[in-house]
Amino acid sequence: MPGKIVAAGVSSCLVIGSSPSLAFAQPAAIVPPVSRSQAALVAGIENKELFGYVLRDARWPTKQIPVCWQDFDPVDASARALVQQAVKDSWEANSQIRFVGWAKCVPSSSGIKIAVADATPEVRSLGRFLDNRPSGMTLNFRFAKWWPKDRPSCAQTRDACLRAIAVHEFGHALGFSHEQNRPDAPDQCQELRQGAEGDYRVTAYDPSSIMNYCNAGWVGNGMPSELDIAALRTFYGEA
Amino acid sequence: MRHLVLFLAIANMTLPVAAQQQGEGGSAIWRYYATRIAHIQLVGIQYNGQIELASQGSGYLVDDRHILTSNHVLPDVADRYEVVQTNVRLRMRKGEALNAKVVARDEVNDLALLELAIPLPPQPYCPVGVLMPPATLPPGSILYLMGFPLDRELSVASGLLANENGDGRWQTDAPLNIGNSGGPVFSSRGYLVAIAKGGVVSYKVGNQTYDVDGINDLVAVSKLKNSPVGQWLSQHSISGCWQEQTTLPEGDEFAWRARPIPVEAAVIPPPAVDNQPVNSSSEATDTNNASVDVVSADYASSADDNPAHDPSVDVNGDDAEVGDMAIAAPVAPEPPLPDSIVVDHTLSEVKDDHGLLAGTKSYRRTFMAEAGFLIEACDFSAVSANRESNVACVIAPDGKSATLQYRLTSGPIYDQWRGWLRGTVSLDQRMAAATEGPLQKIVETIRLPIETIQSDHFSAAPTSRTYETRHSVASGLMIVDCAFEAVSDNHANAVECRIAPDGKTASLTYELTSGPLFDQWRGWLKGNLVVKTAKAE
Repeated sequence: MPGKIVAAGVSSCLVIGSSPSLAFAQPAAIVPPVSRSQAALVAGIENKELFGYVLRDARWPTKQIPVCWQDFDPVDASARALVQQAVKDSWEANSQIRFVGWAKCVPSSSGIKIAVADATPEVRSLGRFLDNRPSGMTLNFRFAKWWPKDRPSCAQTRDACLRAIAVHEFGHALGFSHEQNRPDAPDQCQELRQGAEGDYRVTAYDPSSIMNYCNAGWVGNGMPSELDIAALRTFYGEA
Repeated sequence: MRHLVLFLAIANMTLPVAAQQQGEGGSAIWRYYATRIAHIQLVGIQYNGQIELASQGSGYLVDDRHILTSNHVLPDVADRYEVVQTNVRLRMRKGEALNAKVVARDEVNDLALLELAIPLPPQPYCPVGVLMPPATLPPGSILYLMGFPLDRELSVASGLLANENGDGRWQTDAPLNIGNSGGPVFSSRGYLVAIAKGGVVSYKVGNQTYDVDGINDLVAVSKLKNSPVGQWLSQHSISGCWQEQTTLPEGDEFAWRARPIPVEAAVIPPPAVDNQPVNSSSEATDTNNASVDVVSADYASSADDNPAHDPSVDVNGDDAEVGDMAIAAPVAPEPPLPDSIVVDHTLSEVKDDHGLLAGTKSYRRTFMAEAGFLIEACDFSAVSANRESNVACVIAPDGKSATLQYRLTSGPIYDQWRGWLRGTVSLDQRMAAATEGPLQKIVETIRLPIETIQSDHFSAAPTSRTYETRHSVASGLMIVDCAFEAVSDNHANAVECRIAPDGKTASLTYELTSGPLFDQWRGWLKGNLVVKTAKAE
């Protein structure tokens, strides 16, 4: 996860090497031969800051994040176990993060509250802002009325879809936004922009990120990429 | 003799110039505008109940209700929090927080406009002089900026207009730090010319990084011309306070003094002073001098009860005094409340639960009158609605609250359509009748979250139980108002807040009912107990 990150970027305040500066920061080698009629050459890159304080960090303050199910249909027991295992094999296996609980939500529950519906899987906000939020995450166990646009076959290959989508949504729950939302994503991927833009770019743009809709293999693989794991460790520590 | 004449001429000319020097210009700007500088905070209440500061910056009250600031000081964080509150404090960080909402944004120029829920009286805060094109400051002009850097109190700083990039992006060496964004930048004569924005903190060449100082960015107010923020101001700033100056002022008059507020816009009549008869508008609007007199009379009349008042002030508004700043500082009396106000509240409710059949539920949301006001009318205007019905706003008999009632319907499990209602509840409020005695000044409004869920289903009949929540205040304070703001309720009855006779304790009582064993519906009450306190007599 390259870069995604933490914190809905609604207020992207920190402009590091803002794009106009980058545009001028060509390596000297490809600048045409210097002519005296040209403007002066650009030497460096300005690090600009806006002087309003804006809280950006969506990272959870603890390594243990409670999870509960708002909808606890006995029929879905295997699907719930699959989700828990997928999250364990991906995010937990590669960091110190532990999602705990996984029981039916009760009034005293906190953490991530998962609704199950045959609807678009989604999170209502990123990272720690999900804490205690009703229906903070929605997961789809059926794929009868909704399925990923590029995977109409999800109803048949349910487990693979479920696993990949769960890992993706839990990536949001850790604070990662969509990889294709980055301004350095390829143009054809930017068309798939959706949701908040992150505030930090942790790694280089990652075409194979589980957080990238512009990743042809995202459902098939269903695991975080190498860069996803690097970003995860930056924020939540080595396993 | 000839030498003497020359000497006098020089003395006359240098007087105003001296007033332009940094310290004096800064102190005059402080004197006239400090009460207008806003400390702005967005405070978010998370779904887990924790409260945190979401953003912070500065701003400038440009008339009786609008605060100009930077757009990036007011990020849209609605998706992160259950409740987001915009707190505006004028002049001091420890002042009372005023409620405000964003009415215009300009992301391109990084400008935004807040509107106070309750407008302030135009005087003594008005007027605000603004220098607009074609009048503009040349590079090298002295600038003064005000704001709240870091967690410091109101600060004034100065610097030079270092560079005009030609498109309203100004560069200055005046110190800017986190918290300064949105703060006003003045010319040496007190005209608003720009808004503080950001700056360069470091510079990287190859592998080396250098610290950078004194390269800071401002947004010139000329940017307001083609901005949604400027358009909003020109349509809604009706107090006569905001006054654009499009030619460079002749002479060296200070903006605040040189541009008196037109009399017809000054809603507060100057207090009667024996030798200063109150000017009627017919007399005062035709010449500048007449208007100046009215303004002067206003402040001069407060001299008796203001020990800081400069007794040397000439209430007749002698122009000779302008140059050396020997003008009375605006004396800020307790701003009187307006006769009537309109306060908008946002409503957003989605019904997204899906049973075997389509389900309908009744909702009630209660909104309180502002302290000292009674609700006269309640209007709901929907922005978006689906499967809603029976939408009605009911004003409580005592006028202290209004409740929006509505029903939402959502689809069954096999066809999960949702019902929703989003819009604005506008409460027209009039100042409570004077017969109720003098209004007490609210010291603090306390909101205590209440969330009680009753899920007892032990018998064959529904179970009802009464609950009570009490709140007591410290000595020296008394409770003057107590009410409940409902966010969500179900089978909740007899919700009532009473103030004990001694005014020390507020008691919220309510009854919840939950369903029998075979039909386990729950009763709940969620919302805030709102307690307003005043100084005990």
